[in-house]
Amino acid sequence: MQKQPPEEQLSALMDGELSAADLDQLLNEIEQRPALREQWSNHHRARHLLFEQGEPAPQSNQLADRVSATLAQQPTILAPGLPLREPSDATTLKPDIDEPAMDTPATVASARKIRPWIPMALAASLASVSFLLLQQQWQPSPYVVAGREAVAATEWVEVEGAWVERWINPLDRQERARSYLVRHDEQRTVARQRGSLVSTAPSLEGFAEPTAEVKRVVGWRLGWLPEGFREVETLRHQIPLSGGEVTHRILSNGDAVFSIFIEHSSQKGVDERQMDGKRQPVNLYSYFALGHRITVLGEVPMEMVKKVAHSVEAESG
Amino acid sequence: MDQVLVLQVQKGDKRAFDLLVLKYQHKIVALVNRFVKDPVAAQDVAQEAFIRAYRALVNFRGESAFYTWLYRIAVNTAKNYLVAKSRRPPATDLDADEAELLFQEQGLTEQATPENMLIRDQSHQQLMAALDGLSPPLREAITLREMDGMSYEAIAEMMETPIGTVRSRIHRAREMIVRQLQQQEDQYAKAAP
Repeated sequence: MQKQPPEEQLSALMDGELSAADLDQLLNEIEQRPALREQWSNHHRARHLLFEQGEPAPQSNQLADRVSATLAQQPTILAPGLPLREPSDATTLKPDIDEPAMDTPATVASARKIRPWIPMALAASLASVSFLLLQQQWQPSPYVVAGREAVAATEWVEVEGAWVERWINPLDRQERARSYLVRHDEQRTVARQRGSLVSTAPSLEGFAEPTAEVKRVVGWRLGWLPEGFREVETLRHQIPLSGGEVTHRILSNGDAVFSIFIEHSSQKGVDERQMDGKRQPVNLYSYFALGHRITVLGEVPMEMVKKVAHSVEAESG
Repeated sequence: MDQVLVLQVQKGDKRAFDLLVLKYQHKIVALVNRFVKDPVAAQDVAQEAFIRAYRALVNFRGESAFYTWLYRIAVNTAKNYLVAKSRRPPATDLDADEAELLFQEQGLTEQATPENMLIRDQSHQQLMAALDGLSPPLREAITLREMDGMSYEAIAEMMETPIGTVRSRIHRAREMIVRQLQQQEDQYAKAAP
């Protein structure tokens, strides 16, 4: 079957006659060819003026350009209940809203890859072990799409004695992530200066045993750190939405900077996202453990952020 | 008709929202301007309305048409602007449908002036000229679509032609209409003192 030219696809989109799969391709084309964006605007202007008897409007996309520029600086929204997935076959989009917004815990558990690693330090008590068994289920949502800022996330809540998974309001999560990012950016310059005694580019290879200085922080310790990183500061902040005090540990190798936030929290679930930092993208990973939320963010690969986050262990003694 | 774009935005694609803004920018600016009565401020308020809509789109469930929902946000944003400027917003708390009716009535009154009657006639003439410039198959396809609101499938059946041909004819018709409209506007601009 002959491929429909993007110009015709645009016209079909105006009439609600374009499939979801084609929409994705068309948006890519528009990104490459600004003339298509212009065409979309011109056709709507003509429709507004001629067929809808609208008021004459200037041939300008200044407003849309301004909106687009503003939104480029803002976190991407993601609707709860909408599974993030790439468009499938070239079929007309069905209203996903009508699809079930959540899986049953059993389905989720079977569908997810269970993380095999459990921190040994937390196996000391039965309560901890029980918690960690549950924690295995609170792994990142599988609906991760490369290049997108937000990741669908859920939280587990107890309802009438049974654990059920539900979607977390992404606006709350974004707000909280933004608060962390602000604190991280505030400390970034000083942290880099203090960490510059050791300057090694971050790498996923060669994780070193942490120093004693790094290990001991308010009842929590780090299992390991990327080579060359050292702790440069520990602060305490009030973070909006959390309502309480958060411990902020800052680590740097003189180039990249990590922030680790630990706070009391009852909100379970995993958050994983990329945000626009002051100078470069910042990866954030956050999870719940033993009544605390542990959040790590930094200008380093997501894999590294996650490794650091999962190395945080409760101090037994 | 906007559902496919709205769902794309809700899945995290800002590019789809850009198309929605491009689509509705003129209508929203015109709407806001009826409240604030200042074309420059109307641009700013409209921008704010679109930003608010984007942030709130996460909760949009498609219970109303997207434009109705956007309309409500724009009206509320305009009212907030008036309050912030210590100007009295409309006394009634208009929802989108009520506001539409009110503005239609206002519009009819406004259009009673000779100047607006002239503009209305010009728009009608533009439409007729644009349609007259099309070949019969293109004119029929675009008319069935834009004026009768028929689906491509129904148009294909009526015109006894493949759906791909309908899609192509509607696209070509739009291209020619836009071109004609631009030529007319260029002529008006040159003729203007």
